[in-house]
Amino acid sequence: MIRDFSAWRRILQPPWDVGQAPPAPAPAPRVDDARVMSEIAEGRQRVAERVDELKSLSERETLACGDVLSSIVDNVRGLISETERTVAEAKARSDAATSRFIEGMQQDAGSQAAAVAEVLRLADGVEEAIRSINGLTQYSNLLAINARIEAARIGEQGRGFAVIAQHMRELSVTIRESADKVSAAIGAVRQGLPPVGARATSMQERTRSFVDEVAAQVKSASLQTERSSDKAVHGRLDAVIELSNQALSHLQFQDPLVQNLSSINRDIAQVEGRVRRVLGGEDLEALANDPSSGAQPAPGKITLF
Amino acid sequence: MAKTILVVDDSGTVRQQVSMALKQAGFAIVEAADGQEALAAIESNRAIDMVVCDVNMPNLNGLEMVEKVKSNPEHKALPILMLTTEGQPSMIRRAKEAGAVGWIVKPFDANQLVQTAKHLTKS
Repeated sequence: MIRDFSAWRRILQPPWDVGQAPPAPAPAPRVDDARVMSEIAEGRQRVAERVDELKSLSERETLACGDVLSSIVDNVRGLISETERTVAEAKARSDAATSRFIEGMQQDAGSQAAAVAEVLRLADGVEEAIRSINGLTQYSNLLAINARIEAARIGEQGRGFAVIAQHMRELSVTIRESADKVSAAIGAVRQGLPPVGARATSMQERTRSFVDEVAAQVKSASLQTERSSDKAVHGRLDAVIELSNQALSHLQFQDPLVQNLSSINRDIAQVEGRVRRVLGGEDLEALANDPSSGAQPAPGKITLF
Repeated sequence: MAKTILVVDDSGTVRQQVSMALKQAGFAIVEAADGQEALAAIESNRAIDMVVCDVNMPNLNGLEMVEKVKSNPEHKALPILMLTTEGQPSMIRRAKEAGAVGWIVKPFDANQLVQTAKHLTKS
């Protein structure tokens, strides 16, 4: 923004051209008292106008500085609020992703253990079936023996039965052998599965423990980051407020300046009054010893002559 | 809830500087340009928790304002802190007798003012 300093220039500009020496005072002509008083009054008026202008300019500029300072602090505060909100949102997203990951890990570990349990349950079912098959083979073997006995008992006519009975016996043996093989395989599976199940359970526990540990670490790190960030951010805000307070202290020059300018006006008015009294014939020495004339007016109180 | 402070000074720049320092510390601010305005604000706003007041002001000066406020028993407990360029013992004594709680000579230290305000408003 381009500032207009014309007001400053007008006030600060000396009444002669810059770069040239101030004009030497002309020899004072003999003038009458009324003329002297008139010039003094005019001078006082000019000074009073300049003083008023300077007072209002300093007030305007100081208020503007205060507004800018206030805006800076508000902007920093706003920026910090926005950063805090963004960090909180990122943390919430990160926490949700971690939770989903942990849940998935736990579900996978649980599914593994459930699969092992299911295989064991199926093995139980197969063994139960094999036991039934073994029962049936024993029964059919017994039938084959009985058939052979009956076939032997009836002699030549029973030869055909004897052949069938022999086949039945061989079939029973074959079935029994197959059932034994299946049973041995199931036994091997069963023997192998408990360690797998135990490992799965142990893995599930270890996974849960690991995931809990990771979750705790993530939470702790997140909290620590949040606290550090919070501390750093608020430290910066405190520093900005501290600097702003220091700037406020400097801006307080304006109030005593205005009071001193008012005093200048009063002092000039007082001088004018004293000159008027001297010209009126009062004794200058007596006037100098007059306690009332030398008393400093209280700040803020306007003395009228 | 933020405590409310009434800032009384005929100088706009001083009001702004005092208000800014207190606002940044979390206080709510009400402003008045002289003693009369301050009296009206105190009577109309029961939620004022503290007053920071200049001494030399037009219409009704700070000391007269303190005397008027404190003559109302309802405002006996309202802390009034004088903030002025004046340092005459007789004026300080008069303010104390009128019921002001403290006297700060300008220029003021913003941090000190905030700490004093926190102490007086118990915040």
